[in-house]
Order: sequence, then C-alpha cells, then structure tokens
Amino acid sequence: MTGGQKYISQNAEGALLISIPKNVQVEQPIRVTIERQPGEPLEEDRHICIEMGESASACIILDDKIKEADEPTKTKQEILVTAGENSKLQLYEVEETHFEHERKSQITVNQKAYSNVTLLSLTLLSGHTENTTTVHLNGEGAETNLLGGVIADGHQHVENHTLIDHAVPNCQSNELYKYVLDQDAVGVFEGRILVQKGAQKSVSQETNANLVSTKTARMFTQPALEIYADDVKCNHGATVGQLDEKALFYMQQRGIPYDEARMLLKFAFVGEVLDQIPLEAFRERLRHLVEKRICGELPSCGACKLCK
Amino acid sequence: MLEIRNLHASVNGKEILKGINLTIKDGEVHALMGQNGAGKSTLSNVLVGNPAYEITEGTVLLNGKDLLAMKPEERAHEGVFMSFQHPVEIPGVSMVNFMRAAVNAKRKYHGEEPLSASDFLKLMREKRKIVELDNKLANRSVNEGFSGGEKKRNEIFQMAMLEPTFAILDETDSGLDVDALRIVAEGFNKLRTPQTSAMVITHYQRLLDYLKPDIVHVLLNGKIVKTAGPELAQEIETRGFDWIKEEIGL
Repeated sequence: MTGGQKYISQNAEGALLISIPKNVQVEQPIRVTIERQPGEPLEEDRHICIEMGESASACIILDDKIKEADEPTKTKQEILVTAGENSKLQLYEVEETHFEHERKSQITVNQKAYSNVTLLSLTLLSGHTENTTTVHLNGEGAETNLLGGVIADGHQHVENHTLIDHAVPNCQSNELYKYVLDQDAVGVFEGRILVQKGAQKSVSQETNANLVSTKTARMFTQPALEIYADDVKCNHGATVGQLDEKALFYMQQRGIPYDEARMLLKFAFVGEVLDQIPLEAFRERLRHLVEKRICGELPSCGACKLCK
Repeated sequence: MLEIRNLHASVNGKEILKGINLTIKDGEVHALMGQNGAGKSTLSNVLVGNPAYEITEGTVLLNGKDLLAMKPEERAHEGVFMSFQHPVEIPGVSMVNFMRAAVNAKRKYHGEEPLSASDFLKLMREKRKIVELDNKLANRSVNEGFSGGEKKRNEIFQMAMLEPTFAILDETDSGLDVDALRIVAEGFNKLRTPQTSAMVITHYQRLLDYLKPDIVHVLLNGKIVKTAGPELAQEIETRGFDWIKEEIGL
C-alpha cells in the first residue's frame, strides 16, 4: 500500500471510511476510484465518511468514473467530512461519467478551529448532476476554499448548490466556481454565504463566472450573502459572458484557426480554477483532462497544441 | 506584392473607405498618414479580415491570390501580419501556448511538421531578444499586465516569430517613449528582408525616421489623395494636412 490507503476501511453497510489519526501527515494522495462493473446494479447509494484527526493532514482524490451501460445509471452520494482542530484536508472530486448518468451528491463539512479545507468539485462529463455542498465553520480560525469547475455540452444539466456557514468569529472562506457551457447545456449555481450573529471578523469572497458559448446554452446563477454580524468583510459576484470576440480575432490574425482559438479561450477560463489547486502533479493531470474534454468537440484538430 | 483596387468598406452601414487604390511591391515600405477618422485603421482591419468591417466593392490581391476570400487565419498563413493599435489581453493563455499554436498552425498550412517543444522554445528565446523582452515572457498571459511599451514590443516579437511577408504597423508608435520607440523600430528593421513589404500607419515623423519608407500616402475622407516620397512626411510634420486639403479643393 502506498501512502494513506491503509486508512481506508468499509463498514458493514458498505460505507467507505477514511480516517486519518491525530498528528498523522499523509504524504501521498489517497485516491479512490469509483467504477461500476458490468452486472452491478444500475443505481448506487454511496456513503463516504472522512475524519481528520487533530493536526492531521491528507489529500484525497475521488474519481467518479461510472461508465456508460445499456441503461441509464444513477448515483446518490453522501459525503460527510469532519476536520479536527488544526487539520488540513484537500478533497478533490472529479466526475467523469456519461450523458445518461444521473448524480445527486451531498457533501457536508464540519470544520473545527484552525482547520483548513480545500474542496474541488470538477464536472468534466455527466448527464444530470446536482451537487450540494455545505460547509460549517464551527471553530475560530477555520478556513475553507471551495473550488468548482464545470464543462458541459450536449444536453447536460449541472447544478451546484453551496452553503458556507460562518458560525463563529475569525473564519475565512473563498469560493470560486466557473462554468463553460456549450450547445444546449444548462448550468445552475446557487451559492449562499451565511454569517451568523456574533461571527465577527468573518472574511468571505464568493465568485461565480460563466462562459456561455452558444445561444441555446443557459446559465442560472444566484450568489447570496446573508449577514447577521456587523464587522465582516464579504464580497460576492457573478458574471455570465460569451467568448471574447476581440481575443478570438487577435488569435486568428496570428494564424490560429477559429475553432482552436475558441478552445484555448475556454481552457484559459477554467484554468483559473485549476491554478488554485496546491497539489502540482494533480493540477497538471486535471489540466490534461480538461484540455482533452474541451478538445472533444473537435476530434480531429490535427496541429492543435491541445490535442497532443 | 499587394494590389488594392477600388476598395470600398463600411462599418455599421457607414462608408469609410471610398475607393482605395494602392500597390505595394515586395521589399517596399509604404507610410500611410492622415487625420483621425480618415480610414487608416479601417483599411488595415479590412486587409486582415476583421469581421466588424463590411467590404462593399473592390479587390485585394496578395501575390496574385484573392485576399478578401480568405479567412483571417489563412491571410496570416499567407504572410499577412498586423501589429495592433490596441493589442488584446488574453488572460489565462500563456505567450508560449499562444505562439506555439500560431507557429504550428502556419507550419501545418504549408505542409510542415510542427516544431518540437525544445526547438520552439529556442526560437522564442532567439526572437524575444530582438525587442529586448525578458525570459519571463513565455509564461505570462498574452498582453495581460503588459505596459504600453511592452505590448508594442510584444507585437514586433510576434512578427519575428511568424516572419510575415506583408506587415501592417497600425500606430505602433502610439504611446511609446523614445527608448521603446527605438527598440520597436530597430526590431522591425532587423526583420526586413528583400521580400518583406510593409504598410506603416503613423501620425509622426519620428517612427519614419527609423523605418525610412519608400513611399508616403495621405489618406483623407476614405481616399488616397496624395502620394510622394519620404519628403512628404516631413512636410506634413511641419505644415499639417490643411495645405493638402486646399490643394485638392476640399
């Protein structure tokens, strides 16, 4: 076993438990790949429990790779995370399923004092996805970074609903979600930041930016701040835009074909989310996956730098 | 050789170019001068195929080929380059990826293999020196956070990478200090070959002092109204355009 695989166990009900004991720093990322074997049920109820002991640190990668079957597939997922005092967790969730897959996922994170959690939810390929992420900052000095990236085309439908709950003073949260929608895809982002009464000195930044590259793709976004304390620094914002025509023309003038220029711009747009991933090797892998996905629209773009 | 015949073009239904005739032979540098709104930038944008401009009449041949029938990227592959008056910032796209896509697209068009990563970086290193850009260039996003001078130097750097046969400099000297102007102009001169021709749009003599144009044209109200040697630029520098307007009865 490499790195932290030994911290993974399964209980009698089939729930996956990843428990990092107090003071343990897991060096290698713990990687869990979710696949469906032929003959297994089309619907899956998945439970994952992650417990970070005091001052523990780990990086966990969840690869959701349910492949196409004869019939549509379905997943219901529940992830429960407890981040102990001063613990550090990077949790990366990558969905690369298929157009006939329906996924409902709920992640709940409870953070104790001075814990630091980075969550990434990347939807590379899916059919109908609804992710709900709730983070409770329950101990002072806790910090959370919520990152999300969505690349959707065809008739994909991807929703992200997030709630960051500043329950106590002196916590910090950053949130960045970016969508690239093509063809007839539909995206939904609903992000709520709640600063409870007495949670003074809360700092929060929430951004949702979206690139809608066709007339038929649609994006619905609602960032929201709900603040019951009077000494806080909170920002939120959302944008919905198209590809920059001036940039496209500039690239064409330099000889880059129109379709390739579009891909470069889309990739650059999502790239901002990937840039914030601290784990370098994983960041590069995701770049590659995102490039491939964006390129997928044009299976034969020979000289394209992205395709090599 | 570039041959423009009776070119008319409009923007949002308003006619800006009203019958341009101009021939630029290989190796020649032509300066295009004129007051704001005369149509200088429209002409350069039309030549590179900017979709915002509508061509209503006329032809443009580049080495005998119908330029106006080509897509913007094909014009680039055929050797047309424009140094933009306002270079566009492209956040998230690094100069190295941008230039590699551009260089390899051109190579593909001409039936050549793409450059290997190491050959490409070597080429970039060599060319950025022409305009004194430093080694951080490769990883910076295209024009993002560049100063005005850096943006213009970056335009000439891109020209060096793409080795065009017909270059348009659209007010490349605007916003440059004396040193940056010298670097840009000398950079351009280093790239000239007997096959390279250029159309230089400027309001000022100082750029032309470096570039030494063969022919100077004055564009007024969508037409070329005067054509002469380099001395014309000097005369405009001292006397302005009014005397030319009087001469042609405007």
